[in-house]
Amino acid sequence: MMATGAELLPSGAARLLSALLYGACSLLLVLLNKALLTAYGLLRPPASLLPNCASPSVLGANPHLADSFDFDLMAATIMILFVAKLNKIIHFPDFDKRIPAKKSTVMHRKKSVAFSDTLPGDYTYPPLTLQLSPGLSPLPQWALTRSYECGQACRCSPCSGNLPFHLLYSWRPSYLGEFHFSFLFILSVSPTPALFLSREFLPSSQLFRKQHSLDIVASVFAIVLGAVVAAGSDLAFNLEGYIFVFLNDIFTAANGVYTKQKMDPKELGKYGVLFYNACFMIIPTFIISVSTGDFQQAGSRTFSVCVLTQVSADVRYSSVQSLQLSPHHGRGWSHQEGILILWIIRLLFSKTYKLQERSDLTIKEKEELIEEWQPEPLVPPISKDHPALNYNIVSGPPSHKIVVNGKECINFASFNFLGLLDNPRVKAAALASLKKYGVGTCGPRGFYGTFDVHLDLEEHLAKFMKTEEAIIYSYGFSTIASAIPAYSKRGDIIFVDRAACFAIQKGLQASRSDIKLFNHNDVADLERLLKEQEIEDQKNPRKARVTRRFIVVEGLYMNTGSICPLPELVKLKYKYKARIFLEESLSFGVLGEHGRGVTEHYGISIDDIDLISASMENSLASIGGFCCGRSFVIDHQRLSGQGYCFSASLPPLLAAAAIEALNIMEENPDIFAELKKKCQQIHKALQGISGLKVVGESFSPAFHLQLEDSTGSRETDVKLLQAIINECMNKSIALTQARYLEKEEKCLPAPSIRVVVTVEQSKEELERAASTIKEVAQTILL
Amino acid sequence: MLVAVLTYVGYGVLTLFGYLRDFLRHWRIEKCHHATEREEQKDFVSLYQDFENFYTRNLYMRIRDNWNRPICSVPGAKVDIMERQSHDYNWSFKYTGNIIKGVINMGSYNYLGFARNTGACQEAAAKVLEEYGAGVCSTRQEIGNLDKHEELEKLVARFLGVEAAMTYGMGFATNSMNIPALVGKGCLILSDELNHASLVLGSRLSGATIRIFKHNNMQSLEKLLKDAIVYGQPRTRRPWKKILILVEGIYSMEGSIVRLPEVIALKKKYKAYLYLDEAHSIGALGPTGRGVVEYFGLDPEDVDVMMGTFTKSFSAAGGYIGGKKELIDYLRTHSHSAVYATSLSPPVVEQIITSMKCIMGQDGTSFGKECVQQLAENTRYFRRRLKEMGFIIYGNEDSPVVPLMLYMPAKIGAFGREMLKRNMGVVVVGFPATPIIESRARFCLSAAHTKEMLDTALKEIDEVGDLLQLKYSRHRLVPLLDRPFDETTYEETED
Repeated sequence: MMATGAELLPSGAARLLSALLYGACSLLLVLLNKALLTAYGLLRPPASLLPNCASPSVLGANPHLADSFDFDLMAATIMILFVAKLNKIIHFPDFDKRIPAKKSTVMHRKKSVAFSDTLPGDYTYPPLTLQLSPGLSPLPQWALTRSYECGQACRCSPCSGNLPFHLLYSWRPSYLGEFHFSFLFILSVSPTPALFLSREFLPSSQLFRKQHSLDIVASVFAIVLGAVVAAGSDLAFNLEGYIFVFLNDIFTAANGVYTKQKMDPKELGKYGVLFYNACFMIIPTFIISVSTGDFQQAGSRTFSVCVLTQVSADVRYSSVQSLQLSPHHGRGWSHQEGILILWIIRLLFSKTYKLQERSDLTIKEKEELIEEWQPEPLVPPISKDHPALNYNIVSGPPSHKIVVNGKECINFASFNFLGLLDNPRVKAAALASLKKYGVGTCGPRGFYGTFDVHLDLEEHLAKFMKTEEAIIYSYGFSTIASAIPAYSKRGDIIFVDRAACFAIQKGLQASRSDIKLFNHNDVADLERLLKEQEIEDQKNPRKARVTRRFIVVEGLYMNTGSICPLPELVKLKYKYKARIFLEESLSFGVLGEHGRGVTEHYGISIDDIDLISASMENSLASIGGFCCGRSFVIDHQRLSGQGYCFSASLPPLLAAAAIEALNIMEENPDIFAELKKKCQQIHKALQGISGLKVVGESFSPAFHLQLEDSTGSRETDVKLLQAIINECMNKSIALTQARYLEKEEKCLPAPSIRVVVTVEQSKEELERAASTIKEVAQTILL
Repeated sequence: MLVAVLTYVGYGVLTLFGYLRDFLRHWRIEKCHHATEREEQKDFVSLYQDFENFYTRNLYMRIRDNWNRPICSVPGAKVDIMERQSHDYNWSFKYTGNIIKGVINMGSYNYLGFARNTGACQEAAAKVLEEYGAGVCSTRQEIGNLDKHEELEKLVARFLGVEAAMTYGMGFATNSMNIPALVGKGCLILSDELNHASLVLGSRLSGATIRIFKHNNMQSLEKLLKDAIVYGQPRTRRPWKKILILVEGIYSMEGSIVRLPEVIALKKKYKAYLYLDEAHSIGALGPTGRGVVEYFGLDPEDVDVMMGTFTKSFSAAGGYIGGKKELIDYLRTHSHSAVYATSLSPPVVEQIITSMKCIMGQDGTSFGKECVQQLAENTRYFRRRLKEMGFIIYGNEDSPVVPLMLYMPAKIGAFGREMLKRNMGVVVVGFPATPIIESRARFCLSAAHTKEMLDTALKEIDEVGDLLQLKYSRHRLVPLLDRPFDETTYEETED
C-alpha cells in the first residue's frame, strides 16, 4: 500500500513518519484506556479463557461473539440512517448502480492493506493479534479489544466519518454489565483529541486545512502526558502485547490515511459512506456470524441489543454530531474536551488505593526460608502404654480353642461364625490347590493372574447367591471400598447410614460424591433426605437427570450389631429411584435359611438389590471379598474396580478354601439355624448385667456389650472394658474390644466389647462365657 | 513422527467405526451383546454415562481376548493357558476345554522364580496351612495377630535393614490404607506422575494436597520442593506441616528405575520425607535382592518409609512397610489396615518367610543368591538382544520389566494374538494404562527363565516384530530411549 500511495503523497519518509506517529499516539490511547480501567478496578482475569460461559462481561470478551453484535449494530445503523434520511434530517445520495463500485474501490483498497480490518468491524484484528501473542495473558483480552475499539473509532472518524458507527460499536450493554453510560462514553471519545495531535502532523490533515487553537493542542498534550504517566504506573505492562498494538495501529493509521486520499467524501457524503458501508458489510457479517454459530448463541440477545442500540443512538445522536462536527466549530469541541480532561485528571489523581508492590523474593531470601522451615516429625511419638500398641499374640491357629498370650481360651472374638477355619475338608481343598498352583498368583487378574479357580469361585458364588454374576477381590476391606467409587462419581449423591463401617466410609471418600448421612436405621430420616433431594431436583431437573442416587447400607451392622430395615428401603428405592448397595460381610453365611443373607432373611428378591458385597473373611474363613448382582452392574467393576484391576489376584489356595466352604454351606443348611439358636441363647443369658448393656439383634452372631453409664471419658471407658476382657481371658474366655480409629471415624461408636458366637461353641461353653462375663463385670464395675 | 500420526489415524478410524456401530446398535440393526438394565429400573438415572463405555464397547472389546487369559497351572516360567473362543466378537467367551500347554510366561511378576508348587517354600506353606487353616477371621488389633505375623515382621525388618516392619494383607491396600495415616490436611504430597493407582488412591484419601512432578525428573521435583517451602500453603500461606515424596522403585509400565540418590539428596536438602514403593524392585534389584536401595548402594536409613509387596518376587500376597521404630509403632496403632482389615493368611506368611530366608541365604543354600544373579543376567541379555533387533524398548538396562513399544492400537491385539499362537504369553497394554499413542507390550523376566526359553522367546518376538513391522528404532532415535532421564527436556510444570 505504501507503493500505491506513493505518487499521491509528498514524500515516502513523511508518510512513514506520520504513520509511526499515528501509531504511537494510538498506543498511548490504549495505555490511557487501560490506566482508566485499572483505576476503576475493572480489569479482570481474561474471561475469554472460559468459552461457553454466559456471563455478560464474557460475552463482550469473547471475540467471536462480537461478530453477531456487529451484525445487529450494523442493522441498527442502517435503520437509523434510513429513517433520518426519510425525515430529511440528513442527506446522502440514493442507491444506484455506481455506489457499489465506489464502495468497492474503497473496500478494495482497504482490503489490500489489511484484509481483516475491513471485515465485520475491526474485530477480526484484536483476536488475530492475540493469537499472534499467546503470552499476552497478563493483559486482559477484553481490555485490549476495548482499547482497540476506541482507537479505531477515533482513527476512522476523520477519515470516513465512521465515528457514530464506531461509537455505536463501543456502546455495548453486554460488554460490561455494570458500566455507566457516561464512563463508557468518556472512554470512547477521550482518545479523539489525541488523534488531533497526530493529525496536526499528518500530511492528510492538509486535506482539511484546519487550524486549531492553541488551547486545544495544549489540552491534547495534557491528555497524552496523563496517558504516559498512567502507563508508567501500569504494573500489568506487557511489552509484547503493546508492540502488537503498536504494529496494528501503524497499519491501520496508514490504511486510514490512504483511504482518505482515495475517497471522495463529497460524492456520497459522510452519512452516505456510513450507510452503504453498513449495507454492504451486513451481508458478510451475517454470514460469518451464522457460520461461526455466534448468531444462534447470541440470538436471544440480538433483538434486545438492537432495540437498546437504537435508543442509545437516538440519545447520543446530538452529542455525536457535535463531536463529529466540532472540528468545523472549534468552540464546542474545546468545551467538550475541557470536561473530559477534568474527568481524566480526576480519575488519575483520585486513586484511593495503592497497587500492590510486587515482592519477588531474592534467591538469598528463598534460601533462608528453606533453611528456616522445620517440618513436623513424620509421625507423632506414641506412648509405650497406648492401648492399641501391644497386640495380643496368638500362638497357633485362631480357631475354637485359641492360645492368646500363652493362655488357652475359648474363642469368642474371631468372626469364624461357621467354624470353617479348621474344617478338615476346607484345609484339604486348600492344600490340593497349593500343591497344584503354589501360593502366589504373581499378577493382577488382567495379566495372567486369572486362574481357573477364580472363575470357579465366581461361578459358585453367583450360583449360591442366585445372581447373574459375582466378582472376587483379594481383600475384604477393598471390596466395598472399590465398588462404591466404581459407580458413584463426583456430583452423584449417596445416602448412607450413620453407623456404616469404615470400609464403606473409605469407599465414599474415594468416590468424591455428595454424602448424605441418615440416622442409624431410621427410615423416616432417610425419606426426609430423599424428599429434600426431590425438591432440589425439581429446581434443577436438568442436573437431576444425570445425578445418580445410591443408598448404601449394611446387612448386619458391624458397629451396632443391628439389622437394616431392608423391606422399607426397597420401597423407598423404587419410590425415589435410588439404587441400593448392600454390604453383607456379617450377614452373608449367617442370616436366612440357606445363609444368603439379609435378602433371604426378609424374603426379598435379590434382584431388588443393585449390588451386594461381602467379605469372605468371616463365614467363609478365607481371605478376600466378593460383589454380586446383575451382570449389567457387576461387569463394570472388571475395568473400574480399583482394588480388582490394580491388585494381584487372590492366592488360589484361598479361593479353593472359599469354594469348599461354600460347598459345605450348601450341603448343611442346618448350621444357620443352629448358629441362630446359639446367638439367641447367649443374648438372653447376657441380659440384665448391671452396668453392661447388650447392643445388637438377638440373632446376630456379633454383638456389643457397652457400658450402661459412661464414665464421661472415653479413655477410662476403654480401660474399664479392657479390664473386664483381661479378667475374662484369665478365666479362659477370649474376648476383644471393637477397635476404631477414633480420629478417623465419621460417627465414632461408643467403646464396647464385641462378642462373637460360632457354631463350634457348645451350649455349656456359651453358658459359661455368659456367667463369666457377668461375674467379672459385676466385680469390676461395682 | 509418522508413527504418531498413524497411531492417531488408527484411533480415529476405530472411533469413527465405533460411532457408526453405536448408531447401528441404537437402531437395533446390529445386535447388542451388552447386558442391559432391568426393565423395572429403566426410569432410574442411568448407572453409566454413555460415553464412559464407548471406549470399552468399541475399542477394548475388539482385543479383549488379550487380557484375563485364565491359566491353570503354577505361574512359573511356563504356564498352561485355558483355550477360549468367542463366537460373538469377544462379548462372551466359551472354554473349549483344551489347554494350551507350556506357554512361555513373560507376563507374570515372578521375578525370582519362587512361583512353584514343589520345593521348600511349598512344603513349609503346606505344613502351616494344615496347622493354622487358610484364614484368620480377625484383625491385627483385635485377635488376628498370630505368632507367624510377628515372626514375619522381624524377618522383614532384618531383610530390609530397618528397625522395624509391619505387614498387611494386600499390597494395594498397604498403600491406600497407610498413606492416610501418615499425612493429612496441611501436608503436601509430591508424587511422580506415573505412580501406581494405589499410591494415587492413598494420597487422595489422605486429604493432603497433591502435586505431581514429571516422571523421574529431579529438576521438576526440586522446583516443587523449593516452591512449596518458599510459598507455603495456597491461600493461607502457612508453611506446610510436612512434605512426603512418593516414588516407586521400578515403574511397572515404563521399566524405569527411580533416581534414588538424587531423590535422597533432595529430600535431605529440603527436609522432606520419602516414601519408596518397592512393589517391583524388592528382590529383583541389587546384588542380594534387597531392592533399589541396595542397587544404588545407599543406606536404608535415608528412606523414611520403605514399602513393598510380597506378590511379585516372593510369589505370595500382601505388603509391608519398614522404617524407624517410631514409624512402625505409630502404624501399629493408627494404620487403617491394622484396625479394620483381616491380617495375612498364615500359609501365605509362611511362603514369604521361607522365600525371604532363601534369598538371604539362611536356608543354608546359595539358591536364593543364584536366583537374583540369574535374573540380572537374563535381564541384560534379553534387553540387549531386543535392542539389537531394532525394537524400541523403555527403561533402565537392569530393570526386569521390559516394555516394547507397539504404538498403534491395532498392533496391541495383533501382537498379543500372534505371540500366543507361538506359545508365548505376553502382556500388552494400551490406553488408559499408558499414554494414548504409546501402546506397548511388556515382558517381565524371571530367574526361572532358562537361556533356551529366552532364545525361543527372542526368536518369536523377532518374527512377530518383522510381521507387524515393530522395529521402529532407527539409529538416530536411540538417544530418545533415555528420554525420561534427559534433564534437558524439562519443562515448567503447572501447579
